[in-house]
Amino acid sequence: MRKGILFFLIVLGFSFNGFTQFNNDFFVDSVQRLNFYTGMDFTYGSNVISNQFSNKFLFGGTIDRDLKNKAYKNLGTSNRLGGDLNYQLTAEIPFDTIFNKTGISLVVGVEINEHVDLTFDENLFRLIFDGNKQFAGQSTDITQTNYNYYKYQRLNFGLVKYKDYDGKPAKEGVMMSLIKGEEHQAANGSGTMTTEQYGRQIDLDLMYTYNSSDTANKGFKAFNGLGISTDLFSEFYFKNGDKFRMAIEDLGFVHWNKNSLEIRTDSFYTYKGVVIDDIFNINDSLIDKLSKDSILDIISTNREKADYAIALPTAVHLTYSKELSSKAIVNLGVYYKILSSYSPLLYANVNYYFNPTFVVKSQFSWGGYGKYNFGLSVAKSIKNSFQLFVGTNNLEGFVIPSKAYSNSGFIGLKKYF
Amino acid sequence: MLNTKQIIVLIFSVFLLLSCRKDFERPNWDVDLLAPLITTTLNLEDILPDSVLVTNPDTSLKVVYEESIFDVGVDSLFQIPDTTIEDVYVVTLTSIVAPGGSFYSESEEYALNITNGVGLNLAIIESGFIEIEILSEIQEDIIVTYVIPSAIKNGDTLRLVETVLAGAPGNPSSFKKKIDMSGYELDLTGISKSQINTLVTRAVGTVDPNASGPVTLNIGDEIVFKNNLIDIVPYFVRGYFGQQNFSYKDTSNIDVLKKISGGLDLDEVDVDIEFKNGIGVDAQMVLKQFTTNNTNTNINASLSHSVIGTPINLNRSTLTNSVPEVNYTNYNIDINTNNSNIDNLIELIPNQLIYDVDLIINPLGNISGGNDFVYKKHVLETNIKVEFPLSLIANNLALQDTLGFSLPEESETGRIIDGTLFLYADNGFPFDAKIQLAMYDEFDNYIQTISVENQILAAPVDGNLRVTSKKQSVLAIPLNTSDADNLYKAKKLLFTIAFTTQPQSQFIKIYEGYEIDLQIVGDFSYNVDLK
Repeated sequence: MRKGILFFLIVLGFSFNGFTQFNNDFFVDSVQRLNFYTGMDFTYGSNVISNQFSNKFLFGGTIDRDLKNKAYKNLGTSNRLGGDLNYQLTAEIPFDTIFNKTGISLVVGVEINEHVDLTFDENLFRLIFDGNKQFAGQSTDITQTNYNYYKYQRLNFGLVKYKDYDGKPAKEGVMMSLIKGEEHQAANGSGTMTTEQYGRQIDLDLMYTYNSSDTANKGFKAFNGLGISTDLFSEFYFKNGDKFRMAIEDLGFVHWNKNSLEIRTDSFYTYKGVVIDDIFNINDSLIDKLSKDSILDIISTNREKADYAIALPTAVHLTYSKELSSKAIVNLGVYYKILSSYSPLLYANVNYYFNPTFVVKSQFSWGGYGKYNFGLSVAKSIKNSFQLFVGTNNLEGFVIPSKAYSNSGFIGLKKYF
Repeated sequence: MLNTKQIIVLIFSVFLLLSCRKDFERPNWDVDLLAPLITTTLNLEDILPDSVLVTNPDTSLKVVYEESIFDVGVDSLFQIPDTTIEDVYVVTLTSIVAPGGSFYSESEEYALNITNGVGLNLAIIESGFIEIEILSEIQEDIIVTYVIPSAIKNGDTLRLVETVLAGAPGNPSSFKKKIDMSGYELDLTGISKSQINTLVTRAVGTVDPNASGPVTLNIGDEIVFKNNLIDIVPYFVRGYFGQQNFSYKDTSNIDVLKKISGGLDLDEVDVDIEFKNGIGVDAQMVLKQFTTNNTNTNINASLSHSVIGTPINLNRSTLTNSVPEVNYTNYNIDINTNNSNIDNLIELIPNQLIYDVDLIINPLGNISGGNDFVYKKHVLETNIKVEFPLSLIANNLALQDTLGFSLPEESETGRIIDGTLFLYADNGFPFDAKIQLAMYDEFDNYIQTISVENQILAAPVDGNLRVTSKKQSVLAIPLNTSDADNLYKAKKLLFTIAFTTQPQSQFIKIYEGYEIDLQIVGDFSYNVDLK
């Protein structure tokens, strides 16, 4: 979803009202100007685990009984978590005329994107965070679980058209991105685990598929996949002067190369402990039989290297904006990211301009990976040359992390010439 | 356009943002795990080597352990050391010899330096070389015919005809050749055929027939013949080997019972000490000491049997002139629980055998008339064969071994906090068994012993004291936090399982197929730490 914001930052600068969930559209550019922008943003959230839980999972710390019990209360049929981390560097270059048209700017830039999303079963969550002893003597179903992780870099080229509706600025644009895939992992599956009453046997009935990009080639320099994506947006005004924006983001795919790994299984396994042939040579036997590779060999019935293509988590974003006064604009919108365990994010925010160079935005939203969200951000324009913004859509994540379910932050700097 | 300062600000901003991310610490949480860890089977092959276990017709097992104590062979009797034999021909009168004319022809006898006073009259060589070197001061090329008439191979005499280039007084020419003596039969009786250890050679010197003219042999000109015997190993020898005394006093290690300690009472033990004489000499042997020792317990026992100190005459073997080449003569000493205390020697579970044997060959002198013989491959062997049925009474008979063991201190996934290991044992042995685990660090320093509650119960037996079915026992091994911490420090586990036969008062046979199925189940709290 961060890519959506970056898209607007790339093609529109700060002059547009953004149509991503961050809405970092504080100052409207009414004329084309050469500008450079750099920024970063992050977000993560879940409808099950609190920010306190997430923070400890992500940044270290003990996830204690109290945290786990609170999470258990939120478990249901649709449990999800996800997050994004993005870095961006963009230049917008205005043209007097291009393709015999005026009011068009060329946008070029680079991005570093990282995305993870997961839907999971209640039993799987309990199993991971409290172990299997609680299931002794039972058969435990682990229903559909889906996991995706992407890490890639993009080279962006786009055009944005500046329009005028009776003196009101509007834009529309298109951007093409060439994607260098660094890393991808995806898994989905279901199964049943039966732990014998005294733990003497564990039965696993597994059906899962796991895909991974080249596991031997990791790091920023890894070029494991090649892809393209397209972003489109357009905005217009109603007769009453209100503005409507619609956009499609990250419509594309990445083709991961032939060194990618696919493991599939649909089998029943019975585990009675590592079989030691020579009890007096126990260490070597254990090391051999408990290695990661040997375990994968046991539970994978089909393991092969092959290329594959996978679609990016495409997002749709709609925004309705109404100017309440010369100092206040209210925006209502919905943001939905398909293919990524995402729940539609409904939001409303108000931009309040204390003066033409300083704006504060407050936002309320519901959905996404988490639940409710309260945001606060500020932006400052300096001498009509620099713009700086910083903020979060999840103030509650910093203030009351034990009761919050999402966290986010963003910061950006833009230079006009 | 951007100025330099602005570009620097932009680049710095980008890197500042990129540097915001760091490798964070990883999370940790506690889980309760209940899972089988290890499944294994303990049987007799884990206790005793396969090589010593033999199955009787009734499927009961016995231990048969065989070992060679000492051998007397060619190397023991004598050796033919590397020797250089030199013969010098000196021209005593100045003479003129025409091309093709002979000027030297002589046969020589050389005594071989055979050790231990052994007199040989025949030797067949298995391997080795004779290196012949000829130095000539004759001022013309000469033809040397060198013959060892007593060395015959495939009916041919060893004969060498070589040209030695012209030399000069004080600056002789040199010729050297190494001849493989493998397979040669050496008659060592000399020219008279009545001597011993004597090699005969003959050399003939002739002026090269292609010489340009008559050659003058000046007084004092020398031709030197050097015969070097190198690494001669006989395949067969004959002669008189003397009246030699040998003493074999040694300690040999017994590792077949190395995993076992404790109380053992065997129903029956048979030991056969076997002498197999493949040498053509008479011998007399005295077994002075036969002792077993357990260095772990410092307990030893010496054999009490009539053979101790009593001379035993071993007759010489005879030639068959066929294959195999000799008829061995055998002498066996049967030592059993009825005629000795041999069971005491085994029940102390020895790891050493100490023996002291005196041996005399040809105790009556040269009664063979110089026809003693020995083949390299046929020796006088002394073997011991220990055999005992696995019919026993065990009282805390302990099987003990040190296991390499290492739980990584910095596990990739976390570490055990505390809990209980449950050992499920399906025992097919008619033994109760107690288990003990002691932890040691990499320097063999003792850390602690893990207590094991309960014991493995013996399998039930029928009227013939044969196991009817396996008996299941569950043993708990509680691990508190300290125990778990020590597990991570341990690098070795001393595993001890002590068996006590049930019923205790009767000898119980062990049958093929007896085994204990073991399964360890972990029920413990585990701190997941995703490093």
